[in-house]
Amino acid sequence: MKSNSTFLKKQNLAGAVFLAPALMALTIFWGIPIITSILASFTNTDMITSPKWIGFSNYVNIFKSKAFMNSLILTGEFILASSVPVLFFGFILAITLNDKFFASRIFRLLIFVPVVLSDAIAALVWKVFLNVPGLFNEMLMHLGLIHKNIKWFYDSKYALTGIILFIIWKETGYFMVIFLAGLKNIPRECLEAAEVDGASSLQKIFFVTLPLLKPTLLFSTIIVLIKMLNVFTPFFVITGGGPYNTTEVLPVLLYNMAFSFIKIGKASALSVIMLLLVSIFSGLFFTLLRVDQDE
Amino acid sequence: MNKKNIKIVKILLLILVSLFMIMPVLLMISMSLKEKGAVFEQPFRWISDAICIENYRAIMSVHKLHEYFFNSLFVAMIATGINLFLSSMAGFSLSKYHYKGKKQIFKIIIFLLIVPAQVLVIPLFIMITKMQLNDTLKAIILPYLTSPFAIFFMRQFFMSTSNDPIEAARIDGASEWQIYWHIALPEAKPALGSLGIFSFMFNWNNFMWPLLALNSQSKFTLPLGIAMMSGEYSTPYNEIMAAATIASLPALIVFFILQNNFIDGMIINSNNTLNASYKKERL
Repeated sequence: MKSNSTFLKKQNLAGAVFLAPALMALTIFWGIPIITSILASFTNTDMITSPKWIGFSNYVNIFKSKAFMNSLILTGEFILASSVPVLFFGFILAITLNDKFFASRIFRLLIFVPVVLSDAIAALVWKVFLNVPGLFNEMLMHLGLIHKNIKWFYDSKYALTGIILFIIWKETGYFMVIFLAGLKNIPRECLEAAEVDGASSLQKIFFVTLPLLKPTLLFSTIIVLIKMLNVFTPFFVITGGGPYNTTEVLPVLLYNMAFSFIKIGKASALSVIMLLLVSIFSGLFFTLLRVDQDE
Repeated sequence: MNKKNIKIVKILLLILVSLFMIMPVLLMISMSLKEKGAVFEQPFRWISDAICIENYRAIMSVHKLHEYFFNSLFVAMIATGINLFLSSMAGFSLSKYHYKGKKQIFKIIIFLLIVPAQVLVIPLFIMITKMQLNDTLKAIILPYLTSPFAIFFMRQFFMSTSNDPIEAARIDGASEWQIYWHIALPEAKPALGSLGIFSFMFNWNNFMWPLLALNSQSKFTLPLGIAMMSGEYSTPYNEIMAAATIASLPALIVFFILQNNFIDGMIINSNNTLNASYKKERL
Protein backbone atom coordinates (compact mmCIF):
# COMPACT_ATOMS: atom_id res chain seq x y z
CA MET A 1 0.00 0.00 0.00
CA LYS A 2 2.78 2.37 0.99
CA SER A 3 4.73 1.63 -2.18
CA ASN A 4 1.62 2.46 -4.21
CA SER A 5 1.24 5.92 -2.77
CA THR A 6 4.89 6.77 -3.09
CA PHE A 7 4.69 5.53 -6.65
CA LEU A 8 1.77 7.86 -7.26
CA LYS A 9 3.59 10.71 -5.55
CA LYS A 10 6.60 10.20 -7.79
CA GLN A 11 4.37 10.28 -10.82
CA ASN A 12 2.70 13.49 -9.83
CA LEU A 13 6.03 15.05 -8.96
CA ALA A 14 7.18 14.28 -12.48
CA GLY A 15 3.96 15.83 -13.70
CA ALA A 16 4.69 19.01 -11.81
CA VAL A 17 8.22 19.05 -13.22
CA PHE A 18 6.78 18.81 -16.72
CA LEU A 19 4.78 21.94 -16.04
CA ALA A 20 7.69 23.85 -14.54
CA PRO A 21 9.50 25.28 -17.59
CA ALA A 22 6.33 26.59 -19.23
CA LEU A 23 5.10 27.91 -15.91
CA MET A 24 8.37 29.72 -15.37
CA ALA A 25 8.22 31.31 -18.83
CA LEU A 26 4.61 32.33 -18.24
CA THR A 27 5.42 33.87 -14.88
CA ILE A 28 8.35 35.85 -16.21
CA PHE A 29 6.85 37.05 -19.47
CA TRP A 30 3.17 37.25 -18.60
CA GLY A 31 2.69 37.24 -14.86
CA ILE A 32 5.33 39.77 -13.89
CA PRO A 33 4.47 42.21 -16.70
CA ILE A 34 0.78 42.19 -15.74
CA ILE A 35 1.54 42.81 -12.08
CA THR A 36 4.10 45.45 -13.02
CA SER A 37 1.56 47.18 -15.23
CA ILE A 38 -0.97 47.26 -12.47
CA LEU A 39 1.54 48.59 -9.95
CA ALA A 40 2.99 51.12 -12.39
CA SER A 41 -0.47 52.46 -13.13
CA PHE A 42 -0.52 53.93 -9.64
CA THR A 43 2.77 55.79 -10.10
CA ASN A 44 4.06 58.55 -12.33
CA THR A 45 6.94 56.58 -13.85
CA ASP A 46 8.59 58.05 -16.88
CA MET A 47 11.90 56.21 -17.08
CA ILE A 48 13.87 59.32 -16.06
CA THR A 49 12.72 60.56 -12.68
CA SER A 50 12.19 58.05 -9.91
CA PRO A 51 8.57 56.87 -9.65
CA LYS A 52 6.26 58.33 -7.07
CA TRP A 53 3.09 56.72 -5.85
CA ILE A 54 0.17 58.85 -6.96
CA GLY A 55 -2.78 56.58 -6.30
CA PHE A 56 -5.61 56.84 -8.75
CA SER A 57 -4.44 60.12 -10.31
CA ASN A 58 -3.57 58.48 -13.61
CA TYR A 59 -6.99 56.93 -13.89
CA VAL A 60 -8.74 60.18 -13.02
CA ASN A 61 -6.65 62.10 -15.53
CA ILE A 62 -7.33 59.58 -18.23
CA PHE A 63 -11.10 59.67 -17.75
CA LYS A 64 -10.97 63.46 -17.75
CA SER A 65 -8.90 63.72 -20.91
CA LYS A 66 -10.51 64.50 -24.24
CA ALA A 67 -8.02 62.33 -26.04
CA PHE A 68 -9.16 59.28 -24.09
CA MET A 69 -12.83 59.96 -24.65
CA ASN A 70 -12.19 60.50 -28.34
CA SER A 71 -10.19 57.31 -28.50
CA LEU A 72 -12.78 55.34 -26.56
CA ILE A 73 -15.55 56.43 -28.90
CA LEU A 74 -13.45 55.73 -31.98
CA THR A 75 -12.53 52.31 -30.63
CA GLY A 76 -16.18 51.54 -29.94
CA GLU A 77 -17.14 52.63 -33.46
CA PHE A 78 -14.33 50.63 -34.96
CA ILE A 79 -15.16 47.47 -33.00
CA LEU A 80 -18.86 47.61 -33.89
CA ALA A 81 -18.36 48.56 -37.52
CA SER A 82 -15.83 45.75 -38.01
CA SER A 83 -17.29 42.95 -35.90
CA VAL A 84 -20.81 42.98 -37.26
CA PRO A 85 -19.90 42.68 -40.97
CA VAL A 86 -17.17 40.15 -40.24
CA LEU A 87 -19.57 37.89 -38.36
CA PHE A 88 -22.43 38.47 -40.78
CA PHE A 89 -20.47 37.85 -43.97
CA GLY A 90 -18.49 35.04 -42.35
CA PHE A 91 -21.76 33.33 -41.49
CA ILE A 92 -23.30 33.83 -44.92
CA LEU A 93 -20.18 32.56 -46.63
CA ALA A 94 -20.03 29.56 -44.33
CA ILE A 95 -23.62 28.62 -45.07
CA THR A 96 -23.05 29.07 -48.79
CA LEU A 97 -19.94 26.93 -48.79
CA ASN A 98 -21.26 24.32 -46.41
CA ASP A 99 -22.92 22.06 -49.00
CA LYS A 100 -19.75 21.07 -50.75
CA PHE A 101 -20.20 21.64 -54.43
CA PHE A 102 -17.48 21.24 -56.99
CA ALA A 103 -15.67 24.56 -56.52
CA SER A 104 -16.37 25.11 -52.84
CA ARG A 105 -12.83 24.16 -51.86
CA ILE A 106 -11.34 26.73 -54.22
CA PHE A 107 -13.61 29.50 -52.97
CA ARG A 108 -12.87 28.60 -49.37
CA LEU A 109 -9.18 28.82 -50.15
CA LEU A 110 -9.34 32.18 -51.92
CA ILE A 111 -11.51 33.76 -49.26
CA PHE A 112 -9.06 32.63 -46.58
CA VAL A 113 -5.99 34.08 -48.32
CA PRO A 114 -6.13 37.51 -46.59
CA VAL A 115 -5.97 35.76 -43.21
CA VAL A 116 -2.68 34.14 -44.12
CA LEU A 117 -0.91 37.38 -45.07
CA SER A 118 1.11 39.35 -42.59
CA ASP A 119 -0.80 42.23 -40.98
CA ALA A 120 1.84 44.82 -41.72
CA ILE A 121 2.32 43.79 -45.32
CA ALA A 122 -1.39 43.56 -46.03
CA ALA A 123 -1.85 47.00 -44.49
CA LEU A 124 0.84 48.45 -46.75
CA VAL A 125 -0.85 46.96 -49.79
CA TRP A 126 -4.17 48.49 -48.74
CA LYS A 127 -2.48 51.83 -48.30
CA VAL A 128 -1.70 51.63 -51.99
CA PHE A 129 -5.01 50.00 -52.88
CA LEU A 130 -6.91 52.94 -51.37
CA ASN A 131 -4.51 55.54 -52.65
CA VAL A 132 -5.66 58.63 -54.45
CA PRO A 133 -5.75 57.92 -57.34
CA GLY A 134 -5.94 54.19 -56.86
CA LEU A 135 -7.49 50.95 -57.90
CA PHE A 136 -10.22 50.93 -55.28
CA ASN A 137 -11.37 54.44 -56.16
CA GLU A 138 -11.41 53.50 -59.82
CA MET A 139 -13.46 50.40 -59.11
CA LEU A 140 -15.98 52.37 -57.09
CA MET A 141 -16.29 54.90 -59.88
CA HIS A 142 -16.77 52.21 -62.52
CA LEU A 143 -19.55 50.77 -60.40
CA GLY A 144 -21.09 54.20 -60.17
CA LEU A 145 -20.90 54.26 -56.39
CA ILE A 146 -18.91 57.48 -56.23
CA HIS A 147 -18.30 60.38 -58.60
CA LYS A 148 -15.14 61.88 -57.18
CA ASN A 149 -12.10 60.17 -55.74
CA ILE A 150 -12.38 59.67 -52.01
CA LYS A 151 -9.21 60.70 -50.28
CA TRP A 152 -9.51 57.73 -47.90
CA PHE A 153 -6.53 57.74 -45.58
CA TYR A 154 -5.82 61.43 -46.11
CA ASP A 155 -9.37 62.49 -45.27
CA SER A 156 -10.42 62.70 -41.65
CA LYS A 157 -13.93 61.66 -42.62
CA TYR A 158 -12.95 58.46 -44.35
CA ALA A 159 -9.71 57.25 -42.81
CA LEU A 160 -11.37 55.12 -40.14
CA THR A 161 -13.74 53.67 -42.72
CA GLY A 162 -10.76 52.70 -44.83
CA ILE A 163 -9.23 50.75 -42.00
CA ILE A 164 -12.58 49.17 -41.18
CA LEU A 165 -12.80 47.96 -44.77
CA PHE A 166 -9.29 46.60 -44.47
CA ILE A 167 -10.01 44.63 -41.33
CA ILE A 168 -13.26 43.23 -42.73
CA TRP A 169 -11.31 42.04 -45.76
CA LYS A 170 -8.59 40.58 -43.57
CA GLU A 171 -10.67 38.72 -40.99
CA THR A 172 -13.88 37.54 -42.67
CA GLY A 173 -12.23 34.35 -43.94
CA TYR A 174 -11.14 33.43 -40.43
CA PHE A 175 -14.67 33.59 -39.08
CA MET A 176 -16.06 31.88 -42.14
CA VAL A 177 -13.95 28.90 -41.13
CA ILE A 178 -15.05 29.06 -37.50
CA PHE A 179 -18.67 29.02 -38.63
CA LEU A 180 -17.98 26.20 -41.07
CA ALA A 181 -16.66 24.22 -38.14
CA GLY A 182 -19.76 25.00 -36.11
CA LEU A 183 -22.04 24.10 -39.00
CA LYS A 184 -20.39 20.71 -39.26
CA ASN A 185 -21.68 19.93 -35.80
CA ILE A 186 -25.29 20.41 -36.83
CA PRO A 187 -26.76 17.02 -37.56
CA ARG A 188 -28.14 16.61 -41.03
CA GLU A 189 -31.27 14.99 -39.69
CA CYS A 190 -32.42 18.23 -38.12
CA LEU A 191 -32.20 20.07 -41.40
CA GLU A 192 -33.74 17.22 -43.33
CA ALA A 193 -36.58 16.97 -40.85
CA ALA A 194 -37.26 20.66 -41.34
CA GLU A 195 -37.28 20.20 -45.10
CA VAL A 196 -39.77 17.38 -44.77
CA ASP A 197 -41.97 19.71 -42.76
CA GLY A 198 -41.88 22.12 -45.69
CA ALA A 199 -39.43 24.72 -44.42
CA SER A 200 -37.87 27.06 -46.96
CA SER A 201 -34.14 27.72 -46.98
CA LEU A 202 -34.57 30.95 -45.05
CA GLN A 203 -36.80 29.30 -42.47
CA LYS A 204 -34.28 26.51 -42.07
CA ILE A 205 -31.58 29.03 -41.30
CA PHE A 206 -33.61 30.94 -38.77
CA PHE A 207 -35.29 28.10 -36.95
CA VAL A 208 -32.79 25.26 -37.16
CA THR A 209 -29.29 26.43 -37.98
CA LEU A 210 -29.01 29.58 -35.91
CA PRO A 211 -30.38 28.16 -32.65
CA LEU A 212 -28.10 25.14 -32.94
CA LEU A 213 -25.21 27.45 -33.72
CA LYS A 214 -25.63 29.52 -30.57
CA PRO A 215 -22.45 28.37 -28.80
CA THR A 216 -20.38 29.05 -31.91
CA LEU A 217 -22.04 32.43 -32.31
CA LEU A 218 -21.36 33.47 -28.75
CA PHE A 219 -17.83 32.17 -28.97
CA SER A 220 -17.15 33.99 -32.25
CA THR A 221 -18.58 37.19 -30.86
CA ILE A 222 -16.27 37.31 -27.90
CA ILE A 223 -13.30 36.37 -30.07
CA VAL A 224 -14.03 39.05 -32.66
CA LEU A 225 -14.57 41.74 -30.03
CA ILE A 226 -11.25 40.98 -28.36
CA LYS A 227 -9.49 40.80 -31.71
CA MET A 228 -10.84 44.16 -32.84
CA LEU A 229 -10.02 45.81 -29.55
CA ASN A 230 -6.39 44.80 -29.98
CA VAL A 231 -5.93 45.90 -33.59
CA PHE A 232 -2.79 48.04 -33.77
CA THR A 233 -0.70 47.29 -36.85
CA PRO A 234 -2.84 48.75 -39.65
CA PHE A 235 -3.44 51.88 -37.61
CA PHE A 236 0.26 52.32 -37.08
CA VAL A 237 1.38 51.41 -40.58
CA ILE A 238 -1.26 53.26 -42.58
CA THR A 239 -2.34 56.31 -40.64
CA GLY A 240 -0.37 56.53 -37.42
CA GLY A 241 -3.50 57.68 -35.63
CA GLY A 242 -4.28 60.52 -37.99
CA PRO A 243 -5.42 62.41 -39.84
CA TYR A 244 -6.24 64.70 -36.90
CA ASN A 245 -6.54 61.80 -34.46
CA THR A 246 -9.48 60.32 -36.34
CA THR A 247 -7.94 56.87 -36.25
CA GLU A 248 -6.44 57.07 -32.76
CA VAL A 249 -7.98 53.96 -31.27
CA LEU A 250 -7.00 52.80 -27.79
CA PRO A 251 -3.96 50.72 -28.80
CA VAL A 252 -2.57 53.68 -30.77
CA LEU A 253 -3.25 56.07 -27.90
CA LEU A 254 -1.44 53.67 -25.61
CA TYR A 255 1.53 53.42 -27.94
CA ASN A 256 1.84 57.18 -28.23
CA MET A 257 1.43 57.70 -24.52
CA ALA A 258 4.08 55.15 -23.67
CA PHE A 259 6.63 55.58 -26.41
CA SER A 260 6.21 59.12 -27.70
CA PHE A 261 5.33 60.92 -24.51
CA ILE A 262 7.01 58.39 -22.25
CA LYS A 263 4.25 58.63 -19.67
CA ILE A 264 4.70 55.08 -18.54
CA GLY A 265 2.54 55.35 -15.44
CA LYS A 266 -0.37 56.81 -17.33
CA ALA A 267 0.04 54.35 -20.19
CA SER A 268 0.03 51.47 -17.72
CA ALA A 269 -3.21 52.78 -16.31
CA LEU A 270 -4.65 52.85 -19.81
CA SER A 271 -3.58 49.26 -20.39
CA VAL A 272 -5.21 48.21 -17.11
CA ILE A 273 -8.40 49.94 -18.21
CA MET A 274 -8.27 47.95 -21.45
CA LEU A 275 -7.72 44.78 -19.46
CA LEU A 276 -10.74 45.54 -17.30
CA LEU A 277 -12.88 46.20 -20.37
CA VAL A 278 -11.91 42.88 -21.90
CA SER A 279 -12.40 41.02 -18.62
CA ILE A 280 -15.88 42.40 -18.15
CA PHE A 281 -16.92 41.50 -21.66
CA SER A 282 -15.44 38.01 -21.46
CA GLY A 283 -17.00 37.40 -18.08
CA LEU A 284 -20.38 38.41 -19.47
CA PHE A 285 -20.06 36.16 -22.46
CA PHE A 286 -18.81 33.12 -20.65
CA THR A 287 -21.66 33.48 -18.23
CA LEU A 288 -24.03 33.68 -21.19
CA LEU A 289 -22.47 30.54 -22.62
CA ARG A 290 -22.87 28.66 -19.35
CA VAL A 291 -26.45 29.82 -18.97
CA ASP A 292 -27.20 28.75 -22.51
CA GLN A 293 -25.74 25.34 -21.85
CA ASP A 294 -27.83 24.85 -18.75
CA GLU A 295 -31.07 25.40 -20.60
CA MET B 1 -36.62 31.65 -58.36
CA ASN B 2 -35.97 28.05 -59.13
CA LYS B 3 -33.07 26.08 -57.78
CA LYS B 4 -30.86 26.50 -60.83
CA ASN B 5 -31.09 30.30 -60.74
CA ILE B 6 -30.26 30.37 -57.06
CA LYS B 7 -27.21 28.27 -57.72
CA ILE B 8 -26.00 30.60 -60.45
CA VAL B 9 -26.47 33.65 -58.26
CA LYS B 10 -24.61 31.86 -55.45
CA ILE B 11 -21.64 31.12 -57.68
CA LEU B 12 -21.56 34.64 -59.10
CA LEU B 13 -21.53 36.17 -55.66
CA LEU B 14 -18.81 33.78 -54.53
CA ILE B 15 -16.72 34.72 -57.54
CA LEU B 16 -17.15 38.40 -56.72
CA VAL B 17 -16.22 37.90 -53.10
CA SER B 18 -13.19 35.78 -53.97
CA LEU B 19 -12.05 38.37 -56.47
CA PHE B 20 -12.32 41.06 -53.84
CA MET B 21 -10.29 38.93 -51.45
CA ILE B 22 -7.39 38.40 -53.82
CA MET B 23 -7.50 41.73 -55.61
CA PRO B 24 -5.07 43.41 -53.22
CA VAL B 25 -2.67 40.50 -53.68
CA LEU B 26 -2.88 40.90 -57.45
CA LEU B 27 -2.32 44.62 -57.01
CA MET B 28 0.75 43.89 -54.95
CA ILE B 29 2.21 41.70 -57.66
CA SER B 30 1.27 44.13 -60.40
CA MET B 31 2.95 47.05 -58.63
CA SER B 32 6.03 45.00 -57.93
CA LEU B 33 6.64 44.78 -61.66
CA LYS B 34 6.26 48.48 -62.40
CA GLU B 35 8.86 51.16 -62.72
CA LYS B 36 8.96 53.79 -60.05
CA GLY B 37 7.32 56.46 -62.15
CA ALA B 38 4.63 54.16 -63.43
CA VAL B 39 3.46 53.05 -60.00
CA PHE B 40 0.57 55.49 -59.76
CA GLU B 41 -0.04 56.01 -63.42
CA GLN B 42 -3.48 57.07 -64.50
CA PRO B 43 -5.57 55.30 -65.63
CA PHE B 44 -4.68 52.21 -63.68
CA ARG B 45 -3.24 49.35 -65.68
CA TRP B 46 -2.49 45.88 -64.40
CA ILE B 47 0.66 45.51 -66.43
CA SER B 48 2.53 48.53 -67.71
CA ASP B 49 4.48 48.59 -70.91
CA ALA B 50 7.85 48.11 -69.31
CA ILE B 51 7.89 45.12 -66.97
CA CYS B 52 10.47 45.87 -64.37
CA ILE B 53 12.19 42.99 -62.63
CA GLU B 54 14.80 45.39 -61.38
CA ASN B 55 12.73 45.91 -58.24
CA TYR B 56 13.35 42.38 -57.12
CA ARG B 57 17.09 42.83 -57.53
CA ALA B 58 17.00 46.17 -55.74
CA ILE B 59 15.35 44.82 -52.63
CA MET B 60 18.18 42.38 -52.19
CA SER B 61 21.06 44.76 -52.84
CA VAL B 62 19.77 48.03 -51.47
CA HIS B 63 17.27 47.01 -48.87
CA LYS B 64 18.84 43.76 -47.72
CA LEU B 65 15.60 41.85 -47.77
CA HIS B 66 17.46 38.59 -47.31
CA GLU B 67 18.62 39.74 -43.89
CA TYR B 68 15.08 40.45 -42.78
CA PHE B 69 14.02 37.11 -44.21
CA PHE B 70 16.58 35.16 -42.25
CA ASN B 71 15.87 37.08 -39.06
CA SER B 72 12.20 36.21 -39.37
CA LEU B 73 12.95 32.60 -40.21
CA PHE B 74 15.33 32.22 -37.29
CA VAL B 75 12.98 33.80 -34.78
CA ALA B 76 9.91 31.94 -36.01
CA MET B 77 11.60 28.56 -36.06
CA ILE B 78 13.20 28.79 -32.64
CA ALA B 79 10.16 30.32 -30.97
CA THR B 80 7.88 27.69 -32.51
CA GLY B 81 10.18 24.81 -31.66
CA ILE B 82 10.54 25.76 -28.03
CA ASN B 83 6.86 26.61 -27.79
CA LEU B 84 5.81 23.19 -29.03
CA PHE B 85 8.12 21.54 -26.52
CA LEU B 86 7.18 23.59 -23.46
CA SER B 87 3.47 23.78 -24.22
CA SER B 88 3.05 20.10 -24.93
CA MET B 89 4.82 19.22 -21.69
CA ALA B 90 2.65 21.66 -19.79
CA GLY B 91 -0.54 20.51 -21.49
CA PHE B 92 0.37 16.89 -20.83
CA SER B 93 1.07 17.68 -17.21
CA LEU B 94 -2.14 19.60 -16.68
CA SER B 95 -4.29 16.85 -18.15
CA LYS B 96 -2.75 13.60 -16.97
CA TYR B 97 -1.32 14.36 -13.56
CA HIS B 98 -2.60 15.60 -10.22
CA TYR B 99 -0.74 17.90 -7.92
CA LYS B 100 -1.39 20.77 -5.59
CA GLY B 101 -2.34 23.97 -7.29
CA LYS B 102 -3.03 22.38 -10.64
CA LYS B 103 -6.61 23.60 -10.80
CA GLN B 104 -5.70 27.13 -9.74
CA ILE B 105 -2.87 27.33 -12.25
CA PHE B 106 -5.14 26.21 -15.07
CA LYS B 107 -7.76 28.75 -14.07
CA ILE B 108 -5.13 31.47 -14.23
CA ILE B 109 -4.06 30.27 -17.65
CA ILE B 110 -7.63 30.51 -18.86
CA PHE B 111 -7.83 34.06 -17.55
CA LEU B 112 -4.60 34.93 -19.35
CA LEU B 113 -6.19 33.91 -22.64
CA ILE B 114 -7.99 37.21 -22.89
CA VAL B 115 -5.26 39.57 -21.75
CA PRO B 116 -4.53 42.15 -24.46
CA ALA B 117 -0.95 42.37 -25.63
CA GLN B 118 -1.03 46.07 -24.74
CA VAL B 119 -0.87 45.26 -21.04
CA LEU B 120 2.31 43.26 -21.47
CA VAL B 121 4.14 45.38 -23.95
CA ILE B 122 5.31 48.26 -21.75
CA PRO B 123 6.68 46.23 -18.83
CA LEU B 124 8.20 43.75 -21.27
CA PHE B 125 9.99 46.62 -22.94
CA ILE B 126 11.36 47.84 -19.64
CA MET B 127 12.33 44.30 -18.68
CA ILE B 128 14.15 43.69 -21.94
CA THR B 129 15.98 46.99 -21.58
CA LYS B 130 17.06 46.16 -18.05
CA MET B 131 18.31 42.77 -19.21
CA GLN B 132 20.20 44.66 -21.92
CA LEU B 133 18.58 42.53 -24.52
CA ASN B 134 16.98 45.21 -26.62
CA ASP B 135 17.86 45.20 -30.25
CA THR B 136 18.60 41.47 -30.15
CA LEU B 137 16.66 38.66 -31.75
CA LYS B 138 16.56 36.99 -28.33
CA ALA B 139 14.22 39.74 -27.21
CA ILE B 140 11.71 38.75 -29.87
CA ILE B 141 11.90 35.07 -29.08
CA LEU B 142 11.74 35.08 -25.29
CA PRO B 143 8.22 36.41 -24.72
CA TYR B 144 6.88 33.73 -27.04
CA LEU B 145 8.58 30.65 -25.64
CA THR B 146 5.13 29.59 -24.60
CA SER B 147 1.73 31.17 -24.39
CA PRO B 148 -1.48 30.64 -22.44
CA PHE B 149 -3.20 29.73 -25.66
CA ALA B 150 -0.64 27.09 -26.58
CA ILE B 151 -0.77 25.47 -23.17
CA PHE B 152 -4.57 25.56 -23.17
CA PHE B 153 -4.72 24.07 -26.63
CA MET B 154 -2.38 21.18 -25.79
CA ARG B 155 -4.12 20.51 -22.50
CA GLN B 156 -7.49 20.27 -24.25
CA PHE B 157 -5.97 17.89 -26.74
CA PHE B 158 -4.47 15.60 -24.12
CA MET B 159 -7.72 15.57 -22.20
CA SER B 160 -9.27 13.89 -25.20
CA THR B 161 -6.69 11.11 -25.38
CA SER B 162 -7.05 7.82 -23.56
CA ASN B 163 -5.00 7.00 -20.49
CA ASP B 164 -4.67 3.32 -21.35
CA PRO B 165 -1.39 3.44 -23.26
CA ILE B 166 0.07 5.47 -20.40
CA GLU B 167 -1.07 3.02 -17.74
CA ALA B 168 0.20 0.13 -19.78
CA ALA B 169 3.59 1.77 -20.17
CA ARG B 170 3.77 2.40 -16.42
CA ILE B 171 3.09 -1.23 -15.73
CA ASP B 172 5.89 -2.08 -18.11
CA GLY B 173 8.17 0.10 -16.00
CA ALA B 174 8.55 3.13 -18.20
CA SER B 175 9.67 6.39 -16.60
CA GLU B 176 7.40 9.44 -16.84
CA TRP B 177 9.79 11.09 -19.25
CA GLN B 178 9.69 8.04 -21.49
CA ILE B 179 5.92 8.14 -21.37
CA TYR B 180 5.93 11.76 -22.45
CA TRP B 181 8.49 11.28 -25.17
CA HIS B 182 7.39 7.94 -26.63
CA ILE B 183 3.66 7.94 -26.05
CA ALA B 184 2.25 11.40 -25.49
CA LEU B 185 4.23 13.24 -28.15
CA PRO B 186 3.65 10.84 -31.05
CA GLU B 187 -0.04 10.81 -30.16
CA ALA B 188 -0.08 14.59 -30.26
CA LYS B 189 1.26 14.93 -33.79
CA PRO B 190 -1.89 16.49 -35.32
CA ALA B 191 -2.24 18.93 -32.45
CA LEU B 192 1.44 19.78 -32.63
CA GLY B 193 1.07 20.31 -36.35
CA SER B 194 -1.76 22.81 -35.90
CA LEU B 195 -0.09 24.57 -33.03
CA GLY B 196 3.15 24.65 -34.98
CA ILE B 197 1.51 26.34 -37.93
CA PHE B 198 -0.19 28.91 -35.73
CA SER B 199 2.89 29.63 -33.70
CA PHE B 200 5.05 29.96 -36.80
CA MET B 201 2.62 32.28 -38.54
CA PHE B 202 2.23 34.37 -35.42
CA ASN B 203 5.92 34.83 -34.94
CA TRP B 204 6.53 35.40 -38.64
CA ASN B 205 3.83 38.08 -38.89
CA ASN B 206 4.42 39.68 -35.50
CA PHE B 207 4.79 43.43 -35.87
CA MET B 208 4.18 45.42 -32.71
CA TRP B 209 6.70 43.77 -30.44
CA PRO B 210 9.60 43.69 -32.91
CA LEU B 211 8.78 47.33 -33.64
CA LEU B 212 9.42 48.16 -30.01
CA ALA B 213 12.26 45.81 -29.26
CA LEU B 214 14.47 46.32 -32.32
CA ASN B 215 16.44 49.35 -33.41
CA SER B 216 19.04 48.36 -35.95
CA GLN B 217 17.90 47.69 -39.45
CA SER B 218 20.03 44.57 -39.66
CA LYS B 219 17.97 42.93 -36.95
CA PHE B 220 14.56 43.76 -38.35
CA THR B 221 12.10 41.02 -39.06
CA LEU B 222 10.38 40.91 -42.41
CA PRO B 223 7.15 42.83 -41.69
CA LEU B 224 9.07 45.45 -39.75
CA GLY B 225 11.77 45.83 -42.37
CA ILE B 226 9.29 46.23 -45.17
CA ALA B 227 7.18 48.74 -43.26
CA MET B 228 10.30 50.79 -42.67
CA MET B 229 11.27 50.86 -46.30
CA SER B 230 10.19 54.44 -46.94
CA GLY B 231 13.07 56.35 -48.39
CA GLU B 232 14.37 59.75 -47.38
CA TYR B 233 12.72 61.65 -50.17
CA SER B 234 10.09 59.39 -51.60
CA THR B 235 8.64 56.00 -50.88
CA PRO B 236 9.58 53.42 -53.52
CA TYR B 237 6.25 51.65 -53.61
CA ASN B 238 7.28 49.46 -56.50
CA GLU B 239 10.17 48.09 -54.49
CA ILE B 240 8.06 47.82 -51.35
CA MET B 241 5.53 45.77 -53.26
CA ALA B 242 8.28 43.55 -54.61
CA ALA B 243 9.47 42.98 -51.07
CA ALA B 244 5.91 42.38 -49.95
CA THR B 245 5.41 39.77 -52.66
CA ILE B 246 8.54 37.89 -51.68
CA ALA B 247 7.59 38.14 -48.01
CA SER B 248 4.14 36.76 -48.66
CA LEU B 249 5.31 33.85 -50.76
CA PRO B 250 6.29 31.46 -47.94
CA ALA B 251 2.99 31.94 -46.16
CA LEU B 252 0.98 31.54 -49.37
CA ILE B 253 2.93 28.49 -50.54
CA VAL B 254 2.74 26.77 -47.17
CA PHE B 255 -0.94 27.60 -47.05
CA PHE B 256 -1.68 26.20 -50.47
CA ILE B 257 0.19 22.99 -49.76
CA LEU B 258 -1.09 22.48 -46.25
CA GLN B 259 -4.48 24.12 -46.70
CA ASN B 260 -6.38 21.19 -45.31
CA ASN B 261 -4.21 20.90 -42.22
CA PHE B 262 -4.36 24.66 -41.77
CA ILE B 263 -8.10 24.93 -41.89
CA ASP B 264 -8.72 21.67 -40.08
CA GLY B 265 -6.33 22.87 -37.40
CA MET B 266 -8.39 26.00 -36.97
CA ILE B 267 -11.51 23.89 -36.78
CA ILE B 268 -10.03 21.67 -34.07
CA ASN B 269 -8.86 24.82 -32.33
CA SER B 270 -12.20 26.50 -32.17
CA ASN B 271 -14.10 23.33 -31.34
CA ASN B 272 -11.82 22.56 -28.43
CA THR B 273 -12.00 26.04 -27.03
CA LEU B 274 -15.72 26.11 -27.57
CA ASN B 275 -16.34 22.81 -25.87
CA ALA B 276 -14.16 23.76 -22.95
CA SER B 277 -15.84 27.06 -22.43
CA TYR B 278 -19.42 25.99 -22.43
CA LYS B 279 -19.46 22.48 -21.11
CA LYS B 280 -19.42 22.35 -17.35
CA GLU B 281 -15.92 21.02 -17.24
CA ARG B 282 -14.49 19.91 -13.97
CA LEU B 283 -11.32 21.88 -14.11
